[in-house]
Amino acid sequence: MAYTYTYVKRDLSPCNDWIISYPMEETMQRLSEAEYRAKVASGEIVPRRADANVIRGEALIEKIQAESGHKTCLCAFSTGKDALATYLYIRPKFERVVPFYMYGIPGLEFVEESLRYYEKHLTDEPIIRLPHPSLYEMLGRLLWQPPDRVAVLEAADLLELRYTHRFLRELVCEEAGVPDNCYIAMGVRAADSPMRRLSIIMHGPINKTEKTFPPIWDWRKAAVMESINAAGLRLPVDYELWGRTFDGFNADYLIPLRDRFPRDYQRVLDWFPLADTDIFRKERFGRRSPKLDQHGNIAL
Amino acid sequence: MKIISYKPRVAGPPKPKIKARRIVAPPLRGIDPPAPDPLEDLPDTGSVQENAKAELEAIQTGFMRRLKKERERTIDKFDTEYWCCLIFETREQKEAFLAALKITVAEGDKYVDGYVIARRLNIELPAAKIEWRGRTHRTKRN
Repeated sequence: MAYTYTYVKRDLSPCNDWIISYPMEETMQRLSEAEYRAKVASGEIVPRRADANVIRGEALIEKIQAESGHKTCLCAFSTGKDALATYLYIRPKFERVVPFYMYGIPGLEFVEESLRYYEKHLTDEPIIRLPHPSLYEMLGRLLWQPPDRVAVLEAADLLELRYTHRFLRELVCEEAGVPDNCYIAMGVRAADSPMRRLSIIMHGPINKTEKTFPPIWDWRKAAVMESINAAGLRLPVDYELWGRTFDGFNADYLIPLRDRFPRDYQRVLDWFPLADTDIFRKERFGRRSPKLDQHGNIAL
Repeated sequence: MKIISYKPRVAGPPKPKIKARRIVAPPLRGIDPPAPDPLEDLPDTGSVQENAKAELEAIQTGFMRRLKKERERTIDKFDTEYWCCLIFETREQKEAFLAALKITVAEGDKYVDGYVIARRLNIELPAAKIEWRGRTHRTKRN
């Protein structure tokens, strides 16, 4: 027999301004399933939200098309598996899908190679490349910048530009020549994390403020990989190095990059010259055992 | 249901709702001398992607220019070879030398301003342009 907890409000306050709160044991009642269903049916209590109640798949896409009034959308194309599956899924359902990539560092060769591969084998139009808002944020906040760059970044005042995701969406629409109310399809899935699932169930998959929607939010990893394999696509080299796409400049990303693509590593250092301090820190004090000299001391 | 003994928690009148504050980076101060804005007067290429690329390139160029300037400033600051020392055999010889150049005791008999001696000997020194913190210091004493 299934039981469901529900809260019963009791108005015991002596006057409007003062509230006496009781502990949970007192206010919580246990209802039998039949009683719970009856109360839900009568509208006395609201049913708990569940995945099954949330819009998905074809219905979601139809709703997006009805909202925007045309069959064009943008696709946040990070070259990751979820982005690939998203593009594959929505491409036949829209008249035009504009893929765009947000780079953290301009002109990384291995990224450029992946993008060219997908332009050749997957997308039917060139992928728009624009800087990621976090690049401006990190530079504006002087992440890993030596003192001689501070004056330049202060003069440029990058945080004042307000280069946000919302602004970026408008820029992509302008560059692609599509209406500026286009929605962005994203490779977000509920299975990514419990908080993400909760967010989708609580607020729905469509974000009207940022104009984003996750067409494959209810997919599992197996379904994602199946669709990519069915299309005969390769995953980018990022998965070989990190098991995910390149996203960040900490030691976990930089050590494999330095070992595999030294030129691209140098490009990262051109923008964030002190990023190698994180490698130094990890190699000396991280989980990897530090190098020891003949006396057993940590070698510099 | 077993009721645990408890004291009802009495809350006061409702407090005004606290507004979430947006954390804004504090303005950077004390960077001296200031650099020119690298994003000023960037031409519009007509393409958003090209504009973004040009913007980032301009920032990199700004970094390079600044670095060059900083190096020059460092050399000016830390260069110590701006003095020389004259040696005579006796004190009288030194005093005769200073007297011939009409250098008074107030102007120094051990440490003498190079500009003073140059003026007495009618030597034209090249102008020194050193950027000191807070001002551009041009010496025109000669």
